[in-house]
Amino acid sequence: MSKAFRLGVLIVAALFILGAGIFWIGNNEMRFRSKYRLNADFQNVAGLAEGAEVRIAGVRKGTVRRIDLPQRPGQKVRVEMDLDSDTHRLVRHDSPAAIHADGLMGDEYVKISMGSTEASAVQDNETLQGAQPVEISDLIDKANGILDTAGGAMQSVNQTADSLSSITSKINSGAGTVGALINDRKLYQNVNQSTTELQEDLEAVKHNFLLSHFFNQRGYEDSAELTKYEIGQLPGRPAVRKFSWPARQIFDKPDTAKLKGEKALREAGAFLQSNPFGLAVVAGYSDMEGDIAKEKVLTEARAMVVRDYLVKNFKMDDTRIKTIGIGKSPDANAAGIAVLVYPTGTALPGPVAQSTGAARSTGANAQAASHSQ
Amino acid sequence: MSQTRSNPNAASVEIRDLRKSFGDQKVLNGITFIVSHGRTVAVLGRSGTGKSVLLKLLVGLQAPDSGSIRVAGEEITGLDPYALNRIRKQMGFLFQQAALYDSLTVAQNVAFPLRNTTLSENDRQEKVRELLSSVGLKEEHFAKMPAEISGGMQKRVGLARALALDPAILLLDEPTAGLDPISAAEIGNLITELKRRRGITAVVVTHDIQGAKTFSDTLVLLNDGHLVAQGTFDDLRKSKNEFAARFLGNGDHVSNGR
Amino acid sequence: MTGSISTLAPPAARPGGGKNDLKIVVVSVFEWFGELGIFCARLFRAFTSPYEVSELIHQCDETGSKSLPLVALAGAATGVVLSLQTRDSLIHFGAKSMLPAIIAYSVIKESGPVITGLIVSGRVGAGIGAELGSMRVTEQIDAMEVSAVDPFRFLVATRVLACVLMMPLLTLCADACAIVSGWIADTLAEPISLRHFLDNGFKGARFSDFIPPTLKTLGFGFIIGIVACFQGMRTSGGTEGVGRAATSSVVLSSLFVILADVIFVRLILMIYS
Repeated sequence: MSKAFRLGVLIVAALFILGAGIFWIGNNEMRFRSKYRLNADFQNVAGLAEGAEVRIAGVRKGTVRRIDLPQRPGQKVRVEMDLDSDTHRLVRHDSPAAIHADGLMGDEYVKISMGSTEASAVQDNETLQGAQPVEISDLIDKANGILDTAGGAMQSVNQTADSLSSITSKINSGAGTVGALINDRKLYQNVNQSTTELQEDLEAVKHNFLLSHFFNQRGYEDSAELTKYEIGQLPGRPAVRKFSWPARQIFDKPDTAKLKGEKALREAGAFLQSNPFGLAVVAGYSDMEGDIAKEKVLTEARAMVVRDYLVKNFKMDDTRIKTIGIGKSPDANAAGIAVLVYPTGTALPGPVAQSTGAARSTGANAQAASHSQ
Repeated sequence: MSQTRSNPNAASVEIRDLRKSFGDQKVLNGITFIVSHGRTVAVLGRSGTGKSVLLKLLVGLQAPDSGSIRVAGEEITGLDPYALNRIRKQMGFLFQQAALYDSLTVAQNVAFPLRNTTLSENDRQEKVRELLSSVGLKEEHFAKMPAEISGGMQKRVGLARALALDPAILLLDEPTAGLDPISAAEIGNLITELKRRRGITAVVVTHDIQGAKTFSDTLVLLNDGHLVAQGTFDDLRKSKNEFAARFLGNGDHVSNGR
Repeated sequence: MTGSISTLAPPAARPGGGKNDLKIVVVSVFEWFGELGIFCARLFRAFTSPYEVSELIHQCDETGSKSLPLVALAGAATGVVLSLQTRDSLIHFGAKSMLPAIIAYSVIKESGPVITGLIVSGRVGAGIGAELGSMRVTEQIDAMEVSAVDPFRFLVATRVLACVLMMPLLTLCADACAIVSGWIADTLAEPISLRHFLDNGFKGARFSDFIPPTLKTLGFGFIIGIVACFQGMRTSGGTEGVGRAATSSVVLSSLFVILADVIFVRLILMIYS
């Protein structure tokens, strides 16, 4: 009969869904598995909720049954958990319980680690010691602490580096403990030579090699002619006039120092020719892409090429025009070249000892340059 | 006017000073009459004079404002629903529009009042067949739905349903209204025959003066909520009551009143 | 029983202009609730022997199995919409893996019961309102009463009980359809097995999460049944009145289902938290 059939379909469907639901949810609630009870005491449960998971060695094996606040201050929060009985043999007297979260946004769960093999197995309703849970706000505090420490470490490193260089100079001059120890002139020379070799470390070798590579192509016999105007640091005062061009306007390729758009530079040349100035610095810089050493060299080379162009095409006091290669600059959107003009009276910075120049022109320089841009 | 009998029969209907109003409108304003056992009374009157309300008061579908209704010697006003149902089982009611259950077939309609009786399924079917045959319905219509049969047939089915519990009292609301003259005459004959065969006490509300003349023993005339006249057809026709004479005279019941 | 022939239109349907109109509206609102209370009282007295079992089964078929396709379809649509919408929002928060749980919880706790309640109050509420209304105006209910069959027992009790019994069953079906269609929509966007989906969806679920929301539909069923029967039984004014009865039973039962949901949700939260 169709009425009975229809009604039957509805009832069977509903019962089936109810049964399936009971099965699925029941599985989760573990109504059909044997369980035992464990407690854990925590100072702070970090938002753990009743019904949350309990994982043993990362496997979901139980649920939090209830969470009781303590009676008095100073006591701990008690978390009652129901666990599958098959974990009974793994959880020991000394198993630590901890509260963790599934990622930053995830739910909290209780993590119980396996205990030591010597310890006795837990009894039903036994209490485990809970570890202090990690909360995000705590994490942030810690991260700040780490950053502070890192800053301190950096300072120590700097100090160490300074001490090292003073020791080195003392050794060079034959003074100090090491100098005093070195009585033999020949030995001293050897040490001196070794120190020089040390100074021309890999960084410097690579640097010079790369730099000369740019100029050899252009017919410069000796790159020293160009590098002698290089300075290690921008003057510590603001520039009165600033010209800047993106590298792609001036140079033919992203990785070369060959001029293409010289015309653009005339503006700066004309300005330097007709106005008195204390100091002009041609600064090359690049964006944050690429290898640190290569970019450094490239920007140095570019600055030198631009200086060479300006000096040869315009009349000016070429000793007052310096170059600097800043390398990667965090504030720059794209590689470029800049001419910074400082007023008369600005002290002329001395040339950098070429070999250590690359190594020493650190972030502080780059920052100063980018600020003045 | 009223013919009070000192010894009323068990299945009689007595109505005394019955009043009923809806809001400000007084529909029944002190009606008194008696229907004695085995007699048929036709209630006549102009439309809207509370004839149908009178019938509904008799079966307790509505409660009167005041007055008394005694059915088979028992006062029915103020009875609780259970006691009222006991009385109702002695009464059959034919509604103006037959009021057949339109979700049930003709046969199921007639069987409906039998549902709470102790009759077996076979006896019930037998009884339904007998009732439907007695009102002149052919077997082919038994399984039809009420919407599929004519108005005359619906009235017959309604009558069969009213008779299902073998009532002692039959209340008919416009049994011939809305029917063609032939069907109306057939229903009239049916009522006369039922009266003869079963000795039923009947109250018939009607506009059909010819019908009333054939099947009723006494006529009751209502006007403006009052009982204007009562008596046999011939008595009333000859009476000095102007309204009665005009109402019944030559069947001219569309007069403008006094 | 029909002592007062007051208007059956919902109170709000009356235009309220002057002070007098407002008074009429207020009075009719209270009258409505008073009559509903009397109606309920009379209904509870009707839940006694003899039970109209065959009529109850007939009504279960009418309200239950005949509503099933509609309810299943509405449930499925809800699931798809939930899946699509929620997925979009969750991607913003990088919590896409919570989609199954969100669908399962929101369907079973809220959308399933409410959608079923609204569909049933639309379909069944209108049906009952119109059926009882037309039985009232064609005097079929009077005829029943005259036949010594209590219309409350035969018509009202069976319908209310059928609504009460069928609502949880329909809700379960709607829930299932919504979850499965939610899974289909999800798996089309990014394949995931049904098993995995369900495992994820019911992770950490408890019976107390899901049983009370399903049982609250018993209350929805009662509301739908009683309001529709009440509006049907107090119909007056011929064919037009039947139309009004059908409309008002849909409007009022939907409204009361949603209002009752607020109470039920609060109650469930109070008990289970």
